[in-house]
Amino acid sequence: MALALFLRSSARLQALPNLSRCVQFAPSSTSRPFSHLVQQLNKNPISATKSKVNVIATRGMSADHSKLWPIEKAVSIALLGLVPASIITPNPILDNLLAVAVVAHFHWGLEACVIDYIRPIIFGPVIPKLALGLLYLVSAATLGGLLYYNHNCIGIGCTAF
Amino acid sequence: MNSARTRFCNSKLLKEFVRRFSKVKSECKDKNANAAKAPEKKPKLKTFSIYRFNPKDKTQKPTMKKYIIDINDCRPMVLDALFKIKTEQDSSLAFRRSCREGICGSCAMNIDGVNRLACLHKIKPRGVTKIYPLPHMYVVKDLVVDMTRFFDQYHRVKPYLIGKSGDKDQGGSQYLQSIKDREALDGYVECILCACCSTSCPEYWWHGHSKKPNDFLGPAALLHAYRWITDSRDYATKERLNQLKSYYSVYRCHQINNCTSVCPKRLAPGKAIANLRLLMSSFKKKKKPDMEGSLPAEPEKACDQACEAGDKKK
Ligand code: SF4
Ligand code: SF4
Ligand code: FES
Repeated sequence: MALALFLRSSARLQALPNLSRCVQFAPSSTSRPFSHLVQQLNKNPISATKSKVNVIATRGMSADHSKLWPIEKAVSIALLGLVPASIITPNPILDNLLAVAVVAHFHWGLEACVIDYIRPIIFGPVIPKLALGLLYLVSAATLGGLLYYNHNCIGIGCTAF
Repeated sequence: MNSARTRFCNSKLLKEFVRRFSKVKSECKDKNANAAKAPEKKPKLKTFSIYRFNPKDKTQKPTMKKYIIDINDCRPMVLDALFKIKTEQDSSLAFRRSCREGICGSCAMNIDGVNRLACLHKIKPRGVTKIYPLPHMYVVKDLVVDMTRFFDQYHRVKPYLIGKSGDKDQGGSQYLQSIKDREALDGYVECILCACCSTSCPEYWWHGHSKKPNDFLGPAALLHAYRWITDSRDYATKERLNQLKSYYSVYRCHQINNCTSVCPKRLAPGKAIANLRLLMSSFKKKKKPDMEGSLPAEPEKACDQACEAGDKKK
């Protein structure tokens, strides 16, 4: 018994030096780009739009939202400084910047509301589109109004006092 | 030998033993008699109000049905109470369960307004406990909901390793991973896909079941997306991130963190989603793996083969 055990373990000991040979590192020179593999698996990527409803709900600007997202956040943070700055030192440049930033900020926020609450699953394909269109109209009108106010009146910054 | 035995039988020691034993026995009898009387204890009645609905029965609308059980002879969890109701009062009550110990994720339901696992939630002794199916899911029957879309979303994030494509012996070898890289996955791999998080997420209610490419994937699927992206053995980071870039898949999350507060495994899907967004806008980069390459699945066999090959060369 003991002998058998010894024999077996010695066989394993002999194999040990070879272990280093067994660790096969993937040769870097032969590694090809792996993207074709993924494409194969991914026959229906999430961004693909084929059916009718998808087309209705797809929004041109949001095909790749990862570019816009940092801008949205940057504007939110910038507003923290922009609002007090334009009130303390009222001048046309800051006023215009503030007008654009505020309208963009509100627009993105309200857009999320429209998308969340007026969705095709409840209202059908047309109404959500109209609602979004209306929001664009309102935002554009607000921006126009604010810019007009900045140029033909005292400007946003002075209004606070 | 015989005499020794008789001596022992007559000994005081044995007599004493017999006396004490019979006393113990009689005491036991008394106790048993007491135990038989015990059920006279006042029953603790507890009311459960349970959602009942059978979509196949077109005449019936969803109703809440009340069941009263005695929790004195019921084990402590809500799932036990459901079992008791099903065996004793209403065998038509339908609910999912399997492990009854919080690891299979089948018994997720909405108990007293919060999504939880019935097998991990204790019965409250007082008041009425209301039990609903997971919110905003299509009901199959009573507390059983249709999970097709949920699992479809999980599959769409490709919950498996995607290695380098040049890698010929996929499945035949084990990928190397340092202990530290493995530990980075803690807090993600424990997910049991119970859907408590996704069905507590308002954004998932609104967009979870929208037409396919424009649906919000939900915290559970996104937690898994992040889990496979951070895995040091996975090489499809870019493809995985690209797949999530639409307005709906990830960005519908508004970081309300309902998901994190209900997760019965105490995971943080909200954090995973935040990390995903940082990765997608390249504020954060995936860490370089500590180890690369692979080890044969059966090292000893590979050693033998290597030895043989070496011998042949000689
Ligand atoms: S993250 Fe938590 S709540 Fe969500 S499916 Fe996994 S275990 Fe369930
Ligand atoms: S943090 Fe995001 S995923 Fe989690 S509940 Fe909120 S919206 Fe849903
Ligand atoms: S029965 Fe398995 S998690 Fe509750």
